[in-house]
Amino acid sequence: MDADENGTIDAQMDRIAKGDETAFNRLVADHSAFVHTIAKRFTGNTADADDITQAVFWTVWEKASGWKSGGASLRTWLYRITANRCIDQARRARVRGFLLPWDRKAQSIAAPENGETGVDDKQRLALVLAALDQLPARQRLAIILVVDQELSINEAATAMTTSPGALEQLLVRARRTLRSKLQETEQDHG
Amino acid sequence: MDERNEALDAQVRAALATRQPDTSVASRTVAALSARRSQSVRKPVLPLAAAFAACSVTGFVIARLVPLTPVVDPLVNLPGGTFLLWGVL
Repeated sequence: MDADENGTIDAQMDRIAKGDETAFNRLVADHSAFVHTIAKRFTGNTADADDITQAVFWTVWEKASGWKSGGASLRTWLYRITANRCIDQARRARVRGFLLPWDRKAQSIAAPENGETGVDDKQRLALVLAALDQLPARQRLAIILVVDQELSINEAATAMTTSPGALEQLLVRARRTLRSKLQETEQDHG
Repeated sequence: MDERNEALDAQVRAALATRQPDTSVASRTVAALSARRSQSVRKPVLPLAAAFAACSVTGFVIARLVPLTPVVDPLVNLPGGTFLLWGVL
């Protein structure tokens, strides 16, 4: 990000801090797509993704006065807020699952319904998603940020407020769990 | 990264790509936050501190104007009267 762009963003954040709704709406228009993408890929449903997206931009609206461009770009800041909101949402979902067990999603990975042995491509994608959804929240988020959003280890670690080493450990554990779950499923259906 | 990770990552990317974001997310977010902002600007007319101050002043004025001693003294003299008075207060 060059100095001009930094200056533009600083000016935009300054206007937002002063309550300029037009500047804020422009920021939402420019950045809500990637926030919503992460949220939807993390939660798997549009309603929760909408909640997370709104919470992220509400935080931006409230904290705009404290914005300092410093070394972090706006996008890095948004990644960090999004990561925090995703983890919060997962925590709430876990509590809701504990208090309302009948509301909980099925915990086991569903078998293919067509009775065929083996798993076709579409079913395999569904199985991968189901396995992803069963990962602990921080592992799932690490996978989404690094593998799907293609953030570097350092960028993802900054977004998740952790060290690069800890993030790599999250990725190792996430991949190991995914691989074993998918292998189990293949053995069950193969 | 080894080949096994690359293969797994490719599957993960393909699976996550099926969760496409909605195109209307920006307008939905703007509308929702606009509604939220309009609610949040309606601050309480009397914040807690102001309410406390107003009650204190009113209480002081009433205590100066209304002879409360004939009411308070018999209450305090009752067994447990002080507690009763505090309870009423």
